[in-house]
Amino acid sequence: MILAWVNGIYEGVDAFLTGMGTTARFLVENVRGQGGATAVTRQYPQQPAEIVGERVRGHLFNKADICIVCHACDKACPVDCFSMDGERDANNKMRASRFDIDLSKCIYCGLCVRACPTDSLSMTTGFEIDPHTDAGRYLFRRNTGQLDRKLDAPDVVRMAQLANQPRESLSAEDRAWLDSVVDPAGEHLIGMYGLGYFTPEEKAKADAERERKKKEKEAAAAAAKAAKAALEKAAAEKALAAKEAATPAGRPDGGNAP
Amino acid sequence: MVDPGIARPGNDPDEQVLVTTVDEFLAWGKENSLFYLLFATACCGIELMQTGGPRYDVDRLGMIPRATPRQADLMIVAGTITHKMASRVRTLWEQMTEPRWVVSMGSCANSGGPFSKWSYSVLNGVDKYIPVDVYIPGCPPRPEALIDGVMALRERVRKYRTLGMRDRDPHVVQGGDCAFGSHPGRDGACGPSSAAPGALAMSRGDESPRTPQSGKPAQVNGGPA
Amino acid sequence: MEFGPAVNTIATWISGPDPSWWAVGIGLVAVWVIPVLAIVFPVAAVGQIIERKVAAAMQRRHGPNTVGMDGILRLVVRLAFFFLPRAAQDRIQARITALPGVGWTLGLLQRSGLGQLAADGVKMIGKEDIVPAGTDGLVFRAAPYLALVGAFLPFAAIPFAQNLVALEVPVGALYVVAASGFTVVGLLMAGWGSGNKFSLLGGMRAVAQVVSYEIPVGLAIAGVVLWCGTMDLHQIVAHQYNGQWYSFLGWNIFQSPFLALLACLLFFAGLAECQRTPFDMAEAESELVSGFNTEYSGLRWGMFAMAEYSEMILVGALVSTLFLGGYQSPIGEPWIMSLPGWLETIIHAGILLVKFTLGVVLMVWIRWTLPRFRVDQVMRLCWLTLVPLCLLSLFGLALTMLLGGLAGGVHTGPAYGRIPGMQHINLDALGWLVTWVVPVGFAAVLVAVARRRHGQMHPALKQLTGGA
Repeated sequence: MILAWVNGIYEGVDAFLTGMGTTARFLVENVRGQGGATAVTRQYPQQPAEIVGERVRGHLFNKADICIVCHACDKACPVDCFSMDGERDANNKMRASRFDIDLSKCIYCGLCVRACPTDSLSMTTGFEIDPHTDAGRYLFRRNTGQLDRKLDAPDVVRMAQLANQPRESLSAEDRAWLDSVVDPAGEHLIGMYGLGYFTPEEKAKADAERERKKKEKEAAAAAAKAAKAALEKAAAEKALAAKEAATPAGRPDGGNAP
Repeated sequence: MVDPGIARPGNDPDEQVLVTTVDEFLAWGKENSLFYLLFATACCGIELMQTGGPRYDVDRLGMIPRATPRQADLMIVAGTITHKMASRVRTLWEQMTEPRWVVSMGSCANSGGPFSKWSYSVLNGVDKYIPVDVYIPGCPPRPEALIDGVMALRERVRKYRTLGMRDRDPHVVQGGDCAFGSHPGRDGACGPSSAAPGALAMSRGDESPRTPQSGKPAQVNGGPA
Repeated sequence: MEFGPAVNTIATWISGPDPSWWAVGIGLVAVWVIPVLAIVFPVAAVGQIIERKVAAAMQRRHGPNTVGMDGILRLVVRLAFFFLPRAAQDRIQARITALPGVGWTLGLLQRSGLGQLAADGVKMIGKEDIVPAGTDGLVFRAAPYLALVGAFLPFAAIPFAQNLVALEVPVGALYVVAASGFTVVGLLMAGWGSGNKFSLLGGMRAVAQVVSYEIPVGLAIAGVVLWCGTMDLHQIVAHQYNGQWYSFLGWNIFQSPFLALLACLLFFAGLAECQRTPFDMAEAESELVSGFNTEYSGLRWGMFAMAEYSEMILVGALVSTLFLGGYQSPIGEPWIMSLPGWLETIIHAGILLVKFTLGVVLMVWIRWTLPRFRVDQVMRLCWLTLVPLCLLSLFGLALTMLLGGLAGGVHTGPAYGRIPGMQHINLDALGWLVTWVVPVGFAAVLVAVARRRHGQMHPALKQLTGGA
């Protein structure tokens, strides 16, 4: 029994020293910065975010110029997070005038993407949400997959560095490179359609514009309808008058001359 | 961009420079040392744990988890909140000592998430029970997104006034809307019931979907806009 | 002598040659407070950052590294240049930061996490002071102060330098153990006063643990007292002075393997006294929310945290004083003793600071290595392992002293400052070798036999794992 006790003490001390050795090794390697146990921290947001796989389900993006507002994504969505309005454009094609996805409800399942018949809705690999800084916009654009080429980590780092400086201070070459990795379709794709990233002013303006156009159309339709009704009424009256004129005046029974 | 709503010397004749300076310092301390409550219900909790892990360490921002709400500044509601759990979440929030902030992480805490439409047992958004400062979309949000949300919260904390509160309602956080704060409630504070802790559900029903208003912080803070 | 000479100096300075009791009291408090505030308090505060950075390093991440001192600098600049507009103040701050050494220092403070300390402190002061409705008013409010008292009082008897010691009483070691009993009362009051079942449970567990581990602490101290023949901590330090440049050989830990074992036992028992992992089941996060300090917030909780780190420093200082020569330097102690008084005080206090900081780092290292013990495992460890080992060491130590005394008699060691030389067992090199080889050899044989008898892997497991 005493020997068992001694053995227990030995094993305890042995395990303790083994553990201490491991953590000591981690401590030393981490502080020195070399070895197998260096820090793995990715210091976001000073360092750019992780580069995720291609099939990661990130934010949704809708190419508004080919969206036909068929509501297929709306019907497919399990949590009803879509709201959209459409209006016919000059070529009588239905185009989206408002397309909002409630990001607080969206569960990023991707069913809407599968339902879209025109492939205007796509799932990007973007998950960073800081679009009110310019750097965030650039990175966001890169992550939305709108670019034709994929960027590697050094490029992302470079982009983050360049985007954080004022544009005038960059060299011509840097400026050109930055422009080449920016979404060619322009800023209006982010903020007005697809993701609901309106600033309140933009949203108010867009809403007012839409309301105004709707009122105009309604007024025009009402006027047209009123005009049509007036025309019809006038035609009816004319027809009635013509009918009265056609039949002989007098009693309907054909005349009972005195 | 000057936000006229934020109290600043020259903006408010009652404000004293000394008070503002000390307030700024106190807010700096609060911002850099947010202890979050060790609270997690579902999958977002796993992402929260990983955000505290080695890869996306939030300890470097000064945030360490505390088990008791008395010592926590921040409650990150991570996970699905059922009706059964809702009263407990409310209790935990009430037990937190002020100043306290709430971050709603993930779709379930924002709006019920996948369970918002048909489920009988899930609360459609934790902001029906407690006031929320920042909403983080995602299902679950990646750790980087959570850190983004925490950064937005820190901007909000930076505007917290401890001393210069004179005639203001201490429950309303002074300052602009944050990048992710949606659903402007009364007095421009985020969340429906931040000015009245007793108020409960504000129905959102079928009215316009709550789209996070990001971009430049909105001009809020009571008074005429 | 009752009190250290510094006490008498201050007392006579206050009230003349025959100082009244209150002047002596003031002197006592002053001499106790100076090392506590100047040495212990900062290390206790920095200890929290040490903990977070060391933990981070062991977990392959960085600890706090984003908080600089810019908040404090901004406050100072704004207050100093209050008459300037805000933009000008910001420019001044930018200029100051751009000065050659300042930016580097600020960067260092940021990367090392010390800026985090400032932010944590500022935040903690600004937290709401809640006293929950169901608490026992006075008990709840008084508990943190008692814990703090129990953590700081024992430092009065610990010698920080030749003249920087408040109590040189003949019962110094006993005083340390007794004064640290205040924390027990503080814990119990916190647990009960919180009005919370889980806090009470945490408090009870904490008290059971602390009270149990006082036994190995007392026995280990008794071993040193036996060896040195005195309970006065300053005389124990003097006993470990050998008058040579290789002063470390005089330290108690190298005198006998039993003393070395007692040092380890004192360290682990002290770890349990501070409720540090692996012995922190009183504040086990996953079990008891936060144990006895669940209901404390803000500055009240800050006092508990300060008390915990101060107790860690106390354990480190106690182990250093009893076994590692106290404030003596490992090499060249006679040269330091020959320096002028103020220089010698600073160097000695600095050496003790280094020793107990290493002790704190060791405790942090252990915390982030080992998982938590269960409460029954804690009790078993105390009563069935530490106490028997302490008793065996005491027995072995007594045997060593008896045989050594019989073999070589006693001799008087060199005088140490104003303390006269103390009696040592007379052991020449051969005797010293025997005191080490015999017990260690015996223990090695015993361990080998025990391993052969009980340490074998189960045959099925051996087959499965290939006999590793």
